[in-house]
Amino acid sequence: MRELSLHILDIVQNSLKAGSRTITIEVIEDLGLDRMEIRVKDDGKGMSKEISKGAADPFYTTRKTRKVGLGLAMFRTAAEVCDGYLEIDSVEGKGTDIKAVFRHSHIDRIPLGDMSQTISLIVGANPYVEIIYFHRIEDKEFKISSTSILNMLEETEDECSDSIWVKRDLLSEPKVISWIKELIKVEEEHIQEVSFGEISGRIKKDEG
Amino acid sequence: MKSVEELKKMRDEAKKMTRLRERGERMKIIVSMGTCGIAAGARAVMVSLVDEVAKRGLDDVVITQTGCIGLCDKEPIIIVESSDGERMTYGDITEENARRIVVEHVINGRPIGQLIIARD
Repeated sequence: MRELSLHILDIVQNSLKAGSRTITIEVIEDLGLDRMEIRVKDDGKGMSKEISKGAADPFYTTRKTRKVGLGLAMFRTAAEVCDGYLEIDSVEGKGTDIKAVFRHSHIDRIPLGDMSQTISLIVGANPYVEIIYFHRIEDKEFKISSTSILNMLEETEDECSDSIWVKRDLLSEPKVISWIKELIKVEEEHIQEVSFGEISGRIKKDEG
Repeated sequence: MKSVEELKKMRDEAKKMTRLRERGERMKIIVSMGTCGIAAGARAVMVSLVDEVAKRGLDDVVITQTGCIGLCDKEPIIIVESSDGERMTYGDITEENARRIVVEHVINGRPIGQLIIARD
């Protein structure tokens, strides 16, 4: 993949397939420690020890339609190529926690890329799953969730609108998905500007 | 970068649009979002679909995702499913022809034969 945000989109599909009700995506960038961490935590059906062991093996899959499962394998490679690693922590019946760590400044670390597209599409296509996204760069952070988005939708400045019942399937409305994307874009730009502005020249803006 | 005012306006627009919707679903567009699809560009395709449907003000179209279908070399793949059960699978989809499918097939009821890889 060309962006880490695409790996995240891919891993989240696993969480969805596992029947998760809540999926938490965390991106933590620590420039001082030269470390980037990406976590996808879910409360889906989890994996047995045996399946966990095979999960990042490209030639192992529980799917019946094909013989390969590349997502976790490729994500692990993406991390290891940057002096990093991928950890799979799963408890059957409880959920799965995928953690990928990268050396932030490694020349081969692919850019984080467009998280606004990734998150807005995940939220919009799965309105009944609670998606929580947290991104921290140094000391600047923001958090957004399906619920916080619904709360924002409930507010209105439009005097002539009668209050419509804001229910979860509103999240799958195309115009709302586009709006969520713009919202996240603004938050992302804000934490990048503030952090990277202070470190001129050394680290490029991570938009890919 | 959008200002807070622009975001508020966008939100109110989106809500207004939704009030009119009867929640009847005439068509469903399913985007294949397996690893193969994502690697081939499915995210951009889905963004284009969402944008086109929103732009055209279609209130009876739902866009959703699915996993790998098994036709990996034809990715990105989208399936257009109508409420009467008819399904058409399109392959080698780009941001450009995804929008064309919305206009030609979804709005005008004319599936694009050249792009179809399966139908039932």
